[in-house]
Amino acid sequence: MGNLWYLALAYGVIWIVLLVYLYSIARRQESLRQEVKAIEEALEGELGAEEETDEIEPFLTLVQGEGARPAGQGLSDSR
Amino acid sequence: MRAVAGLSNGPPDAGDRLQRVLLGATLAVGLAAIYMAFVYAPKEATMGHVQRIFYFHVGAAWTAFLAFFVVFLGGVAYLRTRDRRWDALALSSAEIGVIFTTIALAMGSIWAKPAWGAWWTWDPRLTTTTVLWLIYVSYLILRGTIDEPERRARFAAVVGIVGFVDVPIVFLSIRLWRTIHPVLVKSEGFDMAPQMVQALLAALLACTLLYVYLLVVRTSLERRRIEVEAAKQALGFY
Repeated sequence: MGNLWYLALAYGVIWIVLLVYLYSIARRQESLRQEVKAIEEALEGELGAEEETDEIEPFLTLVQGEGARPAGQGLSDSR
Repeated sequence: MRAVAGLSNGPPDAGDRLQRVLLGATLAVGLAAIYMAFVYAPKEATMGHVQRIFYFHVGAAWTAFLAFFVVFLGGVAYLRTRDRRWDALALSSAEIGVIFTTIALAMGSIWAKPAWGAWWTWDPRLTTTTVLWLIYVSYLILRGTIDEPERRARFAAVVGIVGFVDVPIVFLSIRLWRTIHPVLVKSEGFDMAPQMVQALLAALLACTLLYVYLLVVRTSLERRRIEVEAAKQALGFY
């Protein structure tokens, strides 16, 4: 019986080490996914802001005259 | 934008399908190998059931050697091409190699207690394997200390190539020095019952498949991380 305890312990070690490693990979994958999502959201926000500025450009020109701000200027730095 | 979008959730591509096939094969062969180690292989006359540690202990050690050989190849390929995909492969393989060396050392130590009466002894095989583990743990630590990607990859490649020198030393240690570690493979073949040899081969195959699966998953993650880094740099997020 004593020997069986060592056998169980040895095979238990395999499962524990592998599960910890798989968990660490899953965590890193999730972290990368979040990072990609943040980049996509930032880019979509930026593109949306540029499109919105394009739409109001004629009105800006009317209100502010010919020297009005070009589309997207001042909106590009999303950080 | 498209490169970044390609990293998000989408329909499964060829890489995902390969991972699923590998996972299925690993689970099937793994279960068969466990059955062979615990049921099919006969009970060893002297040590009894505890000898069943042997199958996956050797499997883990073999896989660690294979993993460090891939680190060596990845390092050579990186130095020749400067392509960071080789560095990603080497890093992933080193990480998995350390995992399998940890398993081999832990299982060996647990087996040593009932077989030799001590958890640890500074036997040549155990000592050289510990040195091997330390070399590749240092490899991983070294990578964490260098910020510049090209420099990090170059240094890591050199350490990965030089570190591989210890692998043949570990393998030959039981032949070169006096040791209490048994020599299994002799000039006339395996020194054990045929069922034990078959169970060992099944464990070796299961561990190799597990290594390939983990390598595909981990390398894919590392390559995606490199792509995200490149995209962030290109888009001015740094």
